[in-house]
Amino acid sequence: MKKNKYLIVLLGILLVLFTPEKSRAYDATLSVGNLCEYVGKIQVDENGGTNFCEFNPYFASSIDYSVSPEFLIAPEFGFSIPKSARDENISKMSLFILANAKYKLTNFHLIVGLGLFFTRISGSGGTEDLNNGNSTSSFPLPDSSVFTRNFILNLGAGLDFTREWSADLHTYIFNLTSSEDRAYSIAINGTYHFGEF
Amino acid sequence: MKLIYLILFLIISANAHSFTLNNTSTLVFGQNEVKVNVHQSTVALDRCTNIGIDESELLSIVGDAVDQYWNRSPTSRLKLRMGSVVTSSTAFATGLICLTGTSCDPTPALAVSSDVLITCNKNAGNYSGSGVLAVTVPNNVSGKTIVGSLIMINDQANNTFKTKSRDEKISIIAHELGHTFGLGHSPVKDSLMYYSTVNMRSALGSDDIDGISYLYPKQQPVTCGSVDMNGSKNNPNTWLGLLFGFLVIALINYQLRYLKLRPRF
Ligand SMILES: [Zn+2]
Repeated sequence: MKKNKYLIVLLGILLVLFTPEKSRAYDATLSVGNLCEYVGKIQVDENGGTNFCEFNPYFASSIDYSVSPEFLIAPEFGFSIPKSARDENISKMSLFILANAKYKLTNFHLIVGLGLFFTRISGSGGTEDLNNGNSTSSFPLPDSSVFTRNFILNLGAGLDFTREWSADLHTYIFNLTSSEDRAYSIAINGTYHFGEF
Repeated sequence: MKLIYLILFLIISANAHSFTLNNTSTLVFGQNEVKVNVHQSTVALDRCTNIGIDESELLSIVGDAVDQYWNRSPTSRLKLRMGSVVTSSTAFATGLICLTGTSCDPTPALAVSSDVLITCNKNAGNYSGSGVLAVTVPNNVSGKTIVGSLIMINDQANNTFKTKSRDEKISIIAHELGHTFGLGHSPVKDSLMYYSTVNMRSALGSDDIDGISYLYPKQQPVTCGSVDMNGSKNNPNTWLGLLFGFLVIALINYQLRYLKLRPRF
């Protein structure tokens, strides 16, 4: 089952993407933006200050299917560009898949969705010499990659400037039902709408 | 198929290599909930006498340390829970945490039977100087699994722990707890696992979240208690549900084709 579950997701995405065409009623989109992770949750200096938004560019793509003129179903896939973590020996990136629903109003739209958010944490191994009490020790670094996987709720809204361009703000809510580790990431993006191919 | 299998294996493998460690082993707790208990010696003189707080206050600091720091990490599954004050032999308060100095060979008599134990200890042999606030070793290990870890708070008369504010004590205990479940030090000052105290500590740093998540990656929706209905390690229904979701989307797609509905784009 462990392998099958990834195949299910993959098959599902392929099924949706390669549904036969002719009179498809969809809008393909591409978004570029910044993903602000775990807003207010992370200490960023030695004086107790916490984070708001760090530079963390991401790309996303969705296919928006019209159910009615106002209501769309929009599966979305996105990822952030791999970058080094706070400790430069560690590399990180994020991936997410979302099943969004969009409700279109005159010049803007509302978004609600559910999905999975993956964080890849990896290191190249080796050691790092760091202080340890009154001397220095060689601390081992991670030498493999790990994916964390969170179930997320997405709430958002966007402005539709033209038929081609819109700007969205998404809020990814982690651990919705657990107050101790609930967290919010905010994604801000500009989106280009290709319409139907 | 073989290639796919290999790729998937790399993705889903959660090899327990440490982020940075305080020893050369790569160890993690086997369970997702770890209790943090405070030891109280049967001998009054061997209890916490020099750190300015007693065992029950130390336990309350533990409660704040786990709530304010590690349990807030959004992408890790390990939860530390405030345990209780446990009374046992005086060896934890007087013994040496390691038989040898440089690379620790844990003292078998002090092996913690399960979870985490915090004890005050006055044995100068445990601390390389009075500035050392505490020492921590996962001292009961089975294979690559941590069974029990021991934190010794420097309770010598000249300790500096007593001079710290309550908030500082909370962050010091939280830092030591990071060592109990497998983390070493971090080179960045905004990390709780930085080797020294800083002006003010209010939350985990990015490096801390990466570290605990690397060792204990959260695997929702299958292992999180709040989402997982039956608590099983693997819940295929969730994935079938996801497939169902995709099928619904595909079906709508076909319907649209059939009805020749056009969007407004
Ligand atoms: Zn330390």
